[in-house]
Amino acid sequence: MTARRWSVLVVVFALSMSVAWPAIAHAAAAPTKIVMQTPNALPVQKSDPQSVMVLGAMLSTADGKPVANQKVEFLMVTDILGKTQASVGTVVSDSGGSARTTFVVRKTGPYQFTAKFAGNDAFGPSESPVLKADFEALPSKVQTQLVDLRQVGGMLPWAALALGLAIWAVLIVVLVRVAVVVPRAARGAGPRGA
Amino acid sequence: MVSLAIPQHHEVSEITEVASRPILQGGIRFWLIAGFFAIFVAAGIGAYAYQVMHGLGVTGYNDSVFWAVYESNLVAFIGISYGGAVTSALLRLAGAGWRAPIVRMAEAMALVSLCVGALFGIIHLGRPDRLLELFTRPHATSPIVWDFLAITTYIVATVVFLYLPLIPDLGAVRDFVGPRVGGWRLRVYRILALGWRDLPVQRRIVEQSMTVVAIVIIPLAVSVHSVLAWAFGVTVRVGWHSTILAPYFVVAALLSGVAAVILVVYAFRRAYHLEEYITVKQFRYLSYLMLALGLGYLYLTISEMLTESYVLDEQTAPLLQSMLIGSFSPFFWFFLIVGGAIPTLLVVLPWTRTPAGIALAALLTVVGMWVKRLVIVIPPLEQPVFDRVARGYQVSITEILVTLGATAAIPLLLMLFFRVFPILSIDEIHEVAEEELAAHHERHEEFTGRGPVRAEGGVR
Repeated sequence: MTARRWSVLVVVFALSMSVAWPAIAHAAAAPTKIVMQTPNALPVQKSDPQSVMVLGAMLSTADGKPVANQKVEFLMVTDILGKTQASVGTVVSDSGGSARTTFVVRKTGPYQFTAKFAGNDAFGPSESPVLKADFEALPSKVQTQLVDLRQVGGMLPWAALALGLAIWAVLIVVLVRVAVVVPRAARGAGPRGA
Repeated sequence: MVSLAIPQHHEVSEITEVASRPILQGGIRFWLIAGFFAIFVAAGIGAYAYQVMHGLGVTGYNDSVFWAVYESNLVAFIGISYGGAVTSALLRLAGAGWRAPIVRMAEAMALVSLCVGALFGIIHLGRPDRLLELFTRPHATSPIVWDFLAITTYIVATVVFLYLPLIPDLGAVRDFVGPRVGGWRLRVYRILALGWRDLPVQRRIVEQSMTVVAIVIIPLAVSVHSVLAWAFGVTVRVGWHSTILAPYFVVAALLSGVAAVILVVYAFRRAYHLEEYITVKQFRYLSYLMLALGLGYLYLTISEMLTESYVLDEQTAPLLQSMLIGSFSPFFWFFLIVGGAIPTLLVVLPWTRTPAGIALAALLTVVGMWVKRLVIVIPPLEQPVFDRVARGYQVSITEILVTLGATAAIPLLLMLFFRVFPILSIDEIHEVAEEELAAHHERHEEFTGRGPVRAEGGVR
């Protein structure tokens, strides 16, 4: 085999490896599994709005060995304009394969979360099953009595409109008065220079 | 002999001659400068046409940052207008004699910047064709409906406020300059002067009306800017939902308005050699006003940031971080140093308190306050509401061109306005000069013990 053929062979090998390597590497990566954990009492818990929920995930290999120092992304599954996943945060797993983040519950209702590991050369990707949680409002600690302000609220636009119209009226009266009185006074004074 | 405070030429015909310089002096220089501004205006109109054809997608808006440069421009330009009108109204009501040569420019600037600023309410709409629904299907709980009512009322008030003191001046221009100008402009003077002949009854009516409108325009301007502030404040957005926002907006408007008045006065004084009437005194007094308002704004800024940063709740922290050390920190510190500290120094130090130094301070204040409006509008919108993903905003070339076009429209419209209408308030300058002359003669009589002295040249 001539040197020219060898060089062609090397180039072809290099090109094919650059294309195929990610697939080969991925196939060689250890499979992983990821499971969501929640220290809070889920799936149903009563909560004040603004309360903080801790989301946790355990990343491990298929045989249960913890996978440390890998990025785990927590996602909230939403139904706004179709099924989408909104990122809650990305956390690096600790030596025990555990990753934790917090989520502020802004309103009551059902929530769905999932955790994702994108995978790399050493470990394959994985996604946890969806974790469902339902937040019900706690009775308020402060006893308040609702005051019905609808009547006052209903009057406000009319008051503002009346004020606006009053200003318009003042401006129109001023302008009309000037436009009428000034020329009339000039006419009453006789011809100019007289 | 007259006191130094009284211009040498204080007769109506002489003041009219000076006030009509922009009307009489056109020339290639005027049209070159007007053409320069017109290029930017044309580019802005072109960019807006492109936006209308392709939708708001050509801006840097996204589902989170839905107000940006356009809304900042709306607040900034209307603020400038408000400052001009209120400065003029307050000085008029206070009877400050030094106001006379500058009120016309302040009032014209108020109207022009208001018209340009109000356009941004339409420019930032994705569907401007639906504007009519503000009339046909108004919703009483929408701040935009009230914004619209307040701004249109304010436009009418500003027109009336500009027009009333123009009536005696148009009479003077009609008599002394009109025959030389002729054509459509003379017809305009004849119609708008309403047959002014300086009769006591005419003077009484116009002065009464001016006082009424000056009183009305102050609360009106405060309400316009407060309603604008409440369009932000009644939302639950972090950084906007604040009780201090309305007075914060009002003081900002006054500050940028006074600064813009200084700039306009400086530019036209230089261009038409009005030094005889607009002296260092006007600049000095306006700069004191600007300084006081600047310190007031600084106080409100510290008050707002101190209370927010002391509590530092979970939502406020990222916003303050973004403003103080994050992506918006260059803008915030630019506002504080270039728009606040440097102008203050320029006004405080006696050797920079010259018309040029004060004009530079005013320019920095106007730019600094515009940047502050960006800091008010954009960072709160970049904070996530539904999730933890912050959506950034990148200004587009369309928005830049529209903004440049609107900015250039203000000097262009002012130049064109003063091509037709007198740049100085002739009647008020004459009135102030007469008062000062009478006071001078009174002092002279007391000093010499002689009888009354006749004013040199008489009065009209």
